Amino acid sequence: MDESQSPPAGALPEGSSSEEETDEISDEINDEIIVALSDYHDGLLPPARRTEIEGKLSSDPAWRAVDEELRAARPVLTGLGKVSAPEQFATHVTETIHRRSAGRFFARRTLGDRLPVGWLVVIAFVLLGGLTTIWCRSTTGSLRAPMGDGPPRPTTGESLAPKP
Amino acid sequence: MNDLERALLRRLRDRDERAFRELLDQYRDRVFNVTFRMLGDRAEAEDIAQEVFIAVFKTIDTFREESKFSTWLYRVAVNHSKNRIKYLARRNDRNRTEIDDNTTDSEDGSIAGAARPARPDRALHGAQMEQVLQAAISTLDEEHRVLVVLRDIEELSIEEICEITGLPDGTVKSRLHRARAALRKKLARHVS
Repeated sequence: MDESQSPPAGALPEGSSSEEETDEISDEINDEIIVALSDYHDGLLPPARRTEIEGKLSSDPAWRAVDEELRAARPVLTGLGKVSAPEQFATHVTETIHRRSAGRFFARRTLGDRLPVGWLVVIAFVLLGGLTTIWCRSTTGSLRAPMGDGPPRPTTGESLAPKP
Repeated sequence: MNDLERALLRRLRDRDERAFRELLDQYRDRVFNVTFRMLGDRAEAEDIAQEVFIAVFKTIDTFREESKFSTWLYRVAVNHSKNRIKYLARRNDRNRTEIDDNTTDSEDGSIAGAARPARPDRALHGAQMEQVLQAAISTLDEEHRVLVVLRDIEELSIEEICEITGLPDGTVKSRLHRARAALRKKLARHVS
């Protein structure tokens, strides 16, 4: 092999990392163009930036190529509609939850949902009334004043005072 | 987040079954659409959509209201779908019928399984178009797939997609373009 045709010292073989680096750099540049043109087509850019990009599009073939590709690729999924969930979907999900949790999944609900609060208040009032009645009629611990049959109470401090 | 969403959220946190039914009625189609377009199979999609709602209901206490509720729900749906794609790929499940068996690129680069139209200029309409497009989507890797599903099918904003995927704005835009370009190439090969 002629020495002049051999690769220079330090040169990298084909497919080497320098080639990959170049690809990465061109990808980065492409990404910048893509992002700028996406914003341009979405109408997200201020007037000054729009003018700048329009200038690039008229002068730079790389920008034009990306723009053409972008315009062509955008409507590619327009034929695809939205699909709806099966009719029984909600029932299936709820049944699955009940089955897996043995009915305990929805247990922690608000107090109002779990208990008949209105009825509980009525019952509480009835119980309170009953207790008050019993308490008032009771001979032990009654709130009423003592009747007349008990032993006379000392009324003055004198009778209680110790005699010398 | 509006007041209605907040009220619904409060009831969900209280494990109110009626609130759960409301949530299902409101979001089931959107969630199912995402899972179906990601997985390309109705049965798988229904299964995953169910898991999404169960997961949302179980973990509702961890939702911190920093984003819209729908954004959080989409994130759960996307993550569940991606996990299932990975799981199915690992298992190399032979029972995947509708799309997975049909989506490997053949040697000439066309989409295998998508019926070749007799008149390509006329035939790609309706159900056939749907089948071809879905098959093409299923050939994309899941990171690209999620972007076209959210942007071109669910019609979400780039901002919302960034929140759902956690990717920067520029990455979403460039990947989205590359995904669309890849789809276009596959479809062009198929038609030609």
